[in-house]
Amino acid sequence: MSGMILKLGAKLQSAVCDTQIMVLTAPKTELDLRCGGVPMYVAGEDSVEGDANESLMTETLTGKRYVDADESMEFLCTKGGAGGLSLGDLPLEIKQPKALPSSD
Amino acid sequence: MSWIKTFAAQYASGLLNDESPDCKNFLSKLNLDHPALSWRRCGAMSQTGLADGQALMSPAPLSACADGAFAAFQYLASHSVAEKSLPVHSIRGSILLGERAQYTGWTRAGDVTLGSACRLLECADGYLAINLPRDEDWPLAQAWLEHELSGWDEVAELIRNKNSEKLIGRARELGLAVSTAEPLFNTGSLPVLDSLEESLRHEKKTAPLVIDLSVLWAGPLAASLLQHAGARVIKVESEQRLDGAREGNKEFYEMLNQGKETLLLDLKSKSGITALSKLIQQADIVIESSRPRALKQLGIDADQCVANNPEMVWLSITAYGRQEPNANWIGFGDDVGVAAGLSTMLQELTGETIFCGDAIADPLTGVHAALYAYHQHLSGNGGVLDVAMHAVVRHCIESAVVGESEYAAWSAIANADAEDLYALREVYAGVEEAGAQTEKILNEFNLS
Repeated sequence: MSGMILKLGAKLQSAVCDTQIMVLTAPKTELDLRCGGVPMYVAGEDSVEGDANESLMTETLTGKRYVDADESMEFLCTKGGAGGLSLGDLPLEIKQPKALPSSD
Repeated sequence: MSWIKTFAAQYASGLLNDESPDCKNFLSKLNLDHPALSWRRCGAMSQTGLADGQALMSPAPLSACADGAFAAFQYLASHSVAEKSLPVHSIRGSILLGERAQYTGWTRAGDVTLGSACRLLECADGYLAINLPRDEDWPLAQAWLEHELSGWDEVAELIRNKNSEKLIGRARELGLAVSTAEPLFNTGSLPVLDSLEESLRHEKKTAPLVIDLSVLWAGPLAASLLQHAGARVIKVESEQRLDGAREGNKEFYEMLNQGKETLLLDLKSKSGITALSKLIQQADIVIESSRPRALKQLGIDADQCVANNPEMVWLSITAYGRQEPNANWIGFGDDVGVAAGLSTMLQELTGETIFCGDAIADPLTGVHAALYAYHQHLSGNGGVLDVAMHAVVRHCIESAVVGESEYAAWSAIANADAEDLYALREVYAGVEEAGAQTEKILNEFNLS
């Protein structure tokens, strides 16, 4: 499995669409994070090439958080795009919003 | 100095853009206080300053602007025959500024806000206001600073040598409420009101139906003031996310939301979103305080709603306006006040690094927004009202120049004042649990 260790606050770019995400939490192990089925890359570094997997072009929405099933990792979508996020072939899901603050 | 005594009335007349004798007469009878006195008597003065220092004057006539905006609202309300739930003439706009902290008992803490979620911290090229009121904000702040955080000391340490521009850019991408103390000027201006003389002559007799989707303070306050003036207000909340203010001070929440009906919808379901769309189409005034993309992601578009119902007023309250890129920037009352320049002004006048009032942009925006929405409703022409909290505070700051000599004079006036603080608004109706009227409203508006 190809993959990389994701640093807190790192910005990742999709190779197949406009999607950009930021790492909010991630386990300190190599992760095969993909968008549209193609591995994502650290923004500003060499891009990755690959053909999108049509069944994984499920779109990302700006401002939404994405998590894996046990919420061991969390990403914030800072720019939406056509590709869906997945860990290997397992799609990540939108995290449900938490309560608003009680005061500001 | 004589102009300043009537400043609040002048501010009202400027907002209304109305030179009619009727309007002038109405405003002159209100006898609004000097800006220094209203700042003290509304409680905001005791909410400004160092914890162990003196209570401080505002660097702009903010309380008088609140008095003026509310006076303008009262003038419009005096033309409506809708039954008022509260004698609108018994309220002053400035009391709205001090209200929350009077309920919570919070006290001033200098560079920490009264609610304690926001701090002024030094970075390499100035000060930042960093507001982390949501539990979710701490994980975001860790991503922002690319470092695990155990508390504020670490935040202070990590930003000390960093440049504000990059910090602000990343914070905005993450949706964190971070602003610089150097004022921004790019949030556009407030709506300019056309004189309403014509439309007031063809008075709208019926009370408007207000659908209030907003949360926290500014939006619910605007709805509350419209409710005082006779509007029927339905507060709509999502089952997934209630108004967070419900978890805050109970009495303050009740005062702000009393008399509103409450509707709870499942906005994750198609039927819930359809019900919301149908309800919105029947509204005279919609109030919301989300970023434009939030409702768009639900398939609800403000411009489209107004196009479908040209008399509908869509009041959009944001931190920095609906234009790109500002539309995506998060802001709350305290950090937006800083972004408008209030803390920089206070620093120049007093030498202290402090916040001005309690989430000051919130109540200032609430009272201005109520005026704009009501005015637009009475004019008979709908539209999307883009009211940015930042633009409201800038408008108040730019309404008068307060130099060192005025600041000293105003401080002396306030310090010599021994009158009681203004009375708080009356609580006249209870607040029911979220969704108490859901069934009734679904049936009445044919939403299911």
